[in-house]
Formats: sequence, structure tokens, C-alpha cells
Amino acid sequence: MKILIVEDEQKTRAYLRKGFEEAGFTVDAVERGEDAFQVIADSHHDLIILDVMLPGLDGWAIVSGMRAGGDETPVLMLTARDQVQDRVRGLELGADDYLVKPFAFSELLARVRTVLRRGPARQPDILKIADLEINIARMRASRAGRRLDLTPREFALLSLFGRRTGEVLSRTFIAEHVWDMNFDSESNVVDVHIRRLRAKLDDPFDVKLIHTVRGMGYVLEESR
Amino acid sequence: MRMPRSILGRLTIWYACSAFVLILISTIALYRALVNNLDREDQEFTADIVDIVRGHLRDRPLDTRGLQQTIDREWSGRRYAQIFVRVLDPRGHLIAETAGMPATLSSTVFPTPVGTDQSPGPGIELALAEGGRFIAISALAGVGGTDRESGVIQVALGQAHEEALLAEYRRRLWWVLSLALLVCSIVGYGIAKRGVRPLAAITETAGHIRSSTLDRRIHTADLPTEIAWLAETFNAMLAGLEDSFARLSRFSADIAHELRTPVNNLRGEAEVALRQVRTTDEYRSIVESLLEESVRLSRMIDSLLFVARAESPETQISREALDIARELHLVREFYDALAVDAGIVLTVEAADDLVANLDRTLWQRAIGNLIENAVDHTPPGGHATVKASRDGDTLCVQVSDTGCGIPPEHVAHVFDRFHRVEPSRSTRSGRLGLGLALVKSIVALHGGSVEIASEADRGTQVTLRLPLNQPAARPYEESVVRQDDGPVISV
Repeated sequence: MKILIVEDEQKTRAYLRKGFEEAGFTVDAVERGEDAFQVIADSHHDLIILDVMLPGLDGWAIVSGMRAGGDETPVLMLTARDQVQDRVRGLELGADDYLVKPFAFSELLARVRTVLRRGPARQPDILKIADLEINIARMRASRAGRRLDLTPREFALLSLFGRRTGEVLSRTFIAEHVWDMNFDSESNVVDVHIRRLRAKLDDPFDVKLIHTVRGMGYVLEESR
Repeated sequence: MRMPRSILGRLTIWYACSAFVLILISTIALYRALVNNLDREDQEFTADIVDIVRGHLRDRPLDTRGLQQTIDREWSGRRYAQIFVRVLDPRGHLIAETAGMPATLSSTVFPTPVGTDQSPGPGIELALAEGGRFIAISALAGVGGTDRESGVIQVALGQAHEEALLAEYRRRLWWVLSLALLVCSIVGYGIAKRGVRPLAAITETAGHIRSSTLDRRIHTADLPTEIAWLAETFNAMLAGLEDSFARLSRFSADIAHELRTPVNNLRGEAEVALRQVRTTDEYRSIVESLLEESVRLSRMIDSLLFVARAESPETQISREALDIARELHLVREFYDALAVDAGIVLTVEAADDLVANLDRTLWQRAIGNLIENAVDHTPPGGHATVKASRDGDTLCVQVSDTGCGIPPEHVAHVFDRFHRVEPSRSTRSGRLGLGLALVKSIVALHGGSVEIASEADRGTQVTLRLPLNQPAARPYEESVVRQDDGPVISV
């Protein structure tokens, strides 16, 4: 997967490039809007990460220019402006997603993967991580052959982790996808839910599957 | 003519015009009265002459010489009036005539004589081609001794003198009118200037107001009523501005202050970390700590921006119809774990048919913040309850707890940004002191109000009132804070 990063802020560009390369992407990065047009025309990218506030040609102009020219490459816009009007404008001009600074890198990565997955990709009905087996269709989970007694929300939480194995999920992301709570809570309520899930999933076993990533959230994977 | 743009100019023109028109009308009326009077006098004068000549002819019908003498003595050679009299016998022969009567005043230019018994007049005006205007009358009178045939008396009164008089009068009137126009303009300007002087005073005050002198006000006591309204409106605007400015500057100070701690942590931790070589695990731990602090910072920025934006009237919210009972149970499900962990019973009571048009994210955030607060401040074994009910056109949501309550001196300030009842404790628990400020902003964005009632060691009760079925956002509204049995305090 090859992505293009258009970002004028040098530090942001550097850490985005590093983060995406370490996540297995091939990364092109440009600083100026005018250069971006050239690079977009010259070579194929699977996705473009576009900062809105660029010197010269801004992000709005680039995305509308691309769409006008029939280029349907997915575009994810980054901006420090989070007025609803801006958001709407970005999506109307043809951006596929919109992320407000400051954002968590894990969030950006998750969104990029979501945009790239959009389309015919099908989720398997049964997920397997180490000795954990999650049967999405039947809403059952078992570990080492022993069925886990989970509430519906706990199952929803576990399958969210299962579908995104290896991805660090932020607390906000978890609250949004499991409880449909769309705000960033100041409390540790998500941690409490995770602790309850761990009590059933990890506590009886030697190998722990859910790991805490300080400052970022939680990840489900075999070892870390 | 285009009216000038200044009120002073307009008023001056109106005052001057109306005063001048009044003067003009009365002057014209007086002039016409004068002309009429002179006319009537002339008529009467000529009629008198006819009467005198008639008298002479009656008393001494044969004394033609005496008649000529009377005519010469009485009416010829007067300086201020030219009078010409002619008496003819029935056959048109001259009996007597004023000496020097102009040939142009021939007997044929006079009007048809009135009868012997009729009083003469009114005369006709004669304008002779050779110059000179006259009032002319003629009348029949008995002449001769015995057979008393009808002769004709012709009298003409020259108008030259009178015309000169009127011309002189008119000339003076033009002077008077010109002067009046000048005086009216000056006086009008004076009056207008006096009238708009308070406006100038307001302008002066307004001109001197800077962001640093917003406490200035216009004194309304001496102002005329209409201008006083303007001044009061202006003062109210100033008060609003002053309040906003004060809030803004306090807000900036608060932000700077609150940002210091996390920024200081970031900087200090990074500096210390770099002072010597450490193990990977140590570095990892430090980076994680830095990340935590950054997350805290960005969350604070988000909340601050939100609260600041909520005060802007342009801020829009996206309302959707929410099933309140369903939403509250969802929130309860989310927070129940937290409550159970803290040893608190969290209950939700809501009627099934409650539907309100609210911004879902904001609504969740408000209720979430209130529940977090309730759980935070309630000791194990306590209760936290969320009740929703309809009160007319209002959705009433009450979040109550059996917690420690809020000290009375803090109740009025709990909705302020960064207000913490116990600063040190709140900081340690990672809370920003923005929770209730956010709630207040959210409620205001929905056009509702929020009340808080608290009693120490008995618990706190926060009541949100949100208008049901309101389609559009309302500007920022006042919230009300109430202490149990205490006075209602506006925040």
C-alpha cells in the first residue's frame, strides 16, 4: 500500500512518515500544495493524507482539483479547524474522511485502514487469535476450548478488538464503537469495562491477550 | 434639492423654511390688505367728489362759475393726488372742468354714468395708452335751472402716487424678507445645533472608548428623553462588551495558567530524561508519560474551544429526535460499571414517550459529565439517580446524588470554567474543572437552562431544562444556580 502525505509542518510530516512506514506502508511526502499536484499526477497512490492549511494551494483546492480531474483516490484530510461547516465542506468537496488536530496517531491509522478497506472486503465470521476464538455470527467466544460467559456489550467489545487485532484502540474509539458514546470522557469508565473483560478473558489464563498502551489505549494481540 | 446627510443640516433647513414661509404668508396678506384699503379709499373719495358736485348743481343750478371755482379750489393742483372733474350738459357740452385735464381723459373713455338717484361707484380702472392709470367714474346729475335735464359728472383719480407708494412698500418688503430668511437660517441653525448637542456628547464619549476604558458610561440624567433611550441602549451595549471583555481576559489568564502545569511536565520530564543514558524500558516509560500529558493537553484544548465556541451565536448544533428513555439507558449501561466499581447504585427513571430534538453527542456529553460528577462525589453505598420528565414544553432532566454536596460559597461558581471545589484533589484525579462549564454551554446551545441545588453531606441535584421540539439553536442564555432554601443566584 502506497500513501502520499501532503503536510507543510516538518515535524508532523516526519512523524507521519515514520509511523506509516512502520505500519507497513510505502510513503511519499511533500510539503507544498503545488508539488502535491505534480506527484499525484505522476504516480499512483492508494490514499492521500492531505493537510488543509498549506502554503499556496490549500487542501480544499487540491481535493476539488483532483475530483474535477476524475481522480478518485481516497483522501483523508487533516486540519486544525474543526467547525462543522469545515467538516461538511471537506466531505462535500470529495474528501473521504476528516480528522482534527490534535489527533491520536492510532486513530489516524485506524481511519486510514478503514478507508482502504471500504469496498468489497468481507469480515470472516470466526476470528482466531492465539487460543481465542470469536464467533461473530453466533455471538460466542471461547478460549482454549472453554466458553467465555460474556454480556452482549462485553462480546461487542471483544469482537471490536478481534476485528482489529494488533491495532491500538483509543478509549474514545472504544466508547464510540461499543456504547455509541461519541464524546471523549474524562473518567476512567472505559478502563473499568476493559478490566471486567480482562477478568473473564485473561485472568484465568497465563497468556494475556489485552494489553494496555499507556497514553493511547488498548490492543488485543498474542504478545507485545 | 437633495437633503443634506447631516441631521443638523436637515433641521436647519426645516426650521428656516417653515419660519420663512410663515413670514412670507403674513407679509403677502398684509400687502394685499393694504392694496384693498387704498382701493376702497379711492372709490369712496371719488364718490364723495361726485356727491359734492351733485350738491352744488342741486343747490345752485345756474352758478356755473361757482362750480368751476369750487373745482379749481378744492381739487386741482394737489400734490399727493391728481383729481380731474368734468361736468357736461345733456348735449355733451362742457359746463366745467379741472384746469389742465389731460386730453387723453376725453369724455368718451369714462364708463356709462349711473342714474341720478344712484350713488356712484365703483369706478373702473383706466390704463391709458399714453401713460397714467386712473380710477374713473361718471354719474348723472340734474343740471340747468328749470327743466332739470340730466348732465354728466365725470371724475378721474390718478394712481401714480399710490403706485409709487406701493412700489416703495414692496421694495422694503423684499429687504425685510431677505433679512428674515437670513435670520431664520441663523436661528434655525442655532436651534438644531442645540437639539443635536447631546448626540455630539454621545459621539464624544463613544469616540474615547477603548478596550481599556469600557467602564465608561454616558450620563443620561441631563439628556432629553429620546436621546436618553439611545444613550441607555449604548450603555447597555457597553456593559455587555465590558462583561465579555472581562470574561475573555479572565479566560485567557485561566488558559495560560492551566496550560502551564502540563506543559511544564512535558518539558521537565523530557529534559530530565535526556540528562543521562537510560534503559529502553525507562525511555519507554518516559515517552508514555509524555504521551499521557499530551493527551490531557489536547483534551483540555478541545473542551476550552468548545466552551468558547458555545458562546458564539454562530455556533450551530445538529439536532435529531432522541428517544430520551433509550438514550438514558444507554448512558446508564456505559457508566454502570464505573458506579458499581465505586459502590454506588446508578438508576435511570424516564417516561417511555419522551422525544426531544437534541444534538446527540452534546447531550451524551452533558449527561455523562453530570453522572461522572455524581459518581465522583458520592461515597460507597450512595445513590446516583437520573430522572427525565416532561414539564409542559420542557424536558426536565435531573441528576441527583447522595454525595458530599458543594459548600455554599462554591455553589454560585461551579459552572465557571476551571472552578474546583478542592483544587488539589481535582488536579490529582486528572479532572480539568471544565465539566460543569461544558454542561452549561451545551444546555445554552440548546436554548435551555441549568440549575444546581446542593446541601452539604446530603447531596447535589442538577436540573437541566431543555425545550422540546425546538428546531433551531438559540443564543447563549443565562443559567440559574440555586441553593436549597437559599436565594436564586444567576451565573
